[in-house]
Order: sequence, then structure tokens, then C-alpha cells
Amino acid sequence: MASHELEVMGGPAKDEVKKSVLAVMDHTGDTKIMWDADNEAEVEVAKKTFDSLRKKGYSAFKTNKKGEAGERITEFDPQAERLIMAPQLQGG
Amino acid sequence: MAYTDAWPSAWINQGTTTGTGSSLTSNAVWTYWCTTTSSSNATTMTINYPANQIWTTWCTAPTMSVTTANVTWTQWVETEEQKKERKAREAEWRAQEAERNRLWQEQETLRVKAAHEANERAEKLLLEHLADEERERYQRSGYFLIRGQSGKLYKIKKGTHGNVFLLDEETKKEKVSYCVQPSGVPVADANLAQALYLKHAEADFLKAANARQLN
Repeated sequence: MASHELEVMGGPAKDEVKKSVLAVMDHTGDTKIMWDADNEAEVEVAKKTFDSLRKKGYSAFKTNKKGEAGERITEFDPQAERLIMAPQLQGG
Repeated sequence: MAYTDAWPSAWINQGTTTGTGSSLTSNAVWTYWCTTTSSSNATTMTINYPANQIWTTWCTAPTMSVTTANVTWTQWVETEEQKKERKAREAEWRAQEAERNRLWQEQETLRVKAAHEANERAEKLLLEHLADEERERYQRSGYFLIRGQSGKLYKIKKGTHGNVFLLDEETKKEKVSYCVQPSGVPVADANLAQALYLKHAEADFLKAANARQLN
């Protein structure tokens, strides 16, 4: 599972947990919310943020950290490696 | 000089029109300013000042020196005390203005710094989502190419309005330009959002966009 993947050599310390990231686009560039899928409280915070932004019209895209794969999602996925939330597009 | 030359008859309806003396009647305009004149030539305008005439609200003596506090002239001529107070007030205004300018400058510096940091953060996020070749292209030329959900080839230029183009597969020429973007985010965020929509929600992108056919 992504949140518990540990680098054996040359990576994060053994007790360091790789967390999932929810990046919300905003005027500061983005605001990141991180969670560990095994931590219910963290998952809850990320999910609440996700649901709140969805109600505001944001679209959510699930990607991996290299940005290679992806899909648009409508429900929060606690197992996602990275979620990006973008404000609704407006024709200019 | 005749009175009528210097003072039209509308102002003085009676008086000696020649010579050096004058005796104005009480209902002449001029008599609202001064009721009597000296016997000298009128053009010298040597005047006696009765206490309750208009002229006396300007000055109480022929030398024009101000002797009372509540007359019109004191609005024009300030005392040393008043001058001191005015200078102090002006100095305070200047200090307040300088402070306002300083605060504005400080806030502007913070705003520019925050905008710069926001752009950097957004660009980092965008670059993380680009393939190596496209990342290099974006950094070198200010645009990147992307395949939409349909497989069509798009070019996204750095910018927010009219910066997305459908390319001809063979010639790579721009065929259609699209104007669509999220609001309230830095440019690089807008470009990433455009790319994500094209890759994963192309129909929604095209539905929201203003499209323009290019020659």
C-alpha cells in the first residue's frame, strides 16, 4: 500500500511513512493535505476537504506522483497516491 | 477723471462726475461699501470707513491692517500662531502620507513575493505531471504537447486565455484555439488543469471552451 511503502536504502527513514497527497489548486499555487490511509483521522480530514471542494464545483483527478497515469474521480479514494483538485473551467 | 469712468452709474447713481470731490447718496451701490469719500480725486479712493459697512468687514483701516479677529480678511491673512498651526498640520499630513506610502510599498512587496512563490509552487506541480520531453519543451519554449482523451494532439502554451490549441497531426499546425481556464490560480496551475481536463475529461473541456477556428 502506498502509504506504507518504505525505501530500504537511501530513501526516507524507516519510521517515515509515505503519505498520500491531496493538492488543491488555489491562489497560493496549491495547498496540500496529506494522509496515511491507515490513519482514520487523517483520511477523514482529506475526505471532508475533497467532498467540500466537490460541492464547490472542483474536479478531482487521481494521478501518481510521476503524473503518468490518471483519471477523473467523483468519490474520494483513500488509497490514491495523489489527488489534484482543480477549480471548474470557465470559457474565457 | 470722472466718477462715471471709474464707477459705472449702476454703482453710483449720484455724485460729482468731475472734479475732485464726491458726495454719494445712501442708495448707491458704492455707498454700501463706504458712505463717504474724501474730497480728493475719486480715483485715489481714499475712503473713510464707517463701522457698519461692507468694506469694514474686510478691513477697518485704510492701511488694510486687520485689527479684529472675526472679519473676512482674517481668513486670508493668518497670524503667526495660525501659520505655525498650519505648518504643523501640513507636516502631520505629509507624515501620514509618507506612512501610507510606506505601508502600501510593504504590502505590494509582500503581494509580489507571494505571487512569485505561488507561481513557483504551481510550476513545480505542473512539471511533476509532465513527461520528461514535455517538461523540457515547456521550460525551453513555454509550451507542451498533450494527447487528449480522444487521442487528439493539443498544444498548451504558458498563459490562461486562448492558449490551448488543437494541432493538425501531420503538419502540427494550430487548427483550433480554445479559451477556457479555472479562475483564481497561477498560470501554471491553469495549464495543469487544462491538461488534466483534456486527458481525463476532454468532453467537459470542449463544452466549456470558447473555440475559434484558425486558418
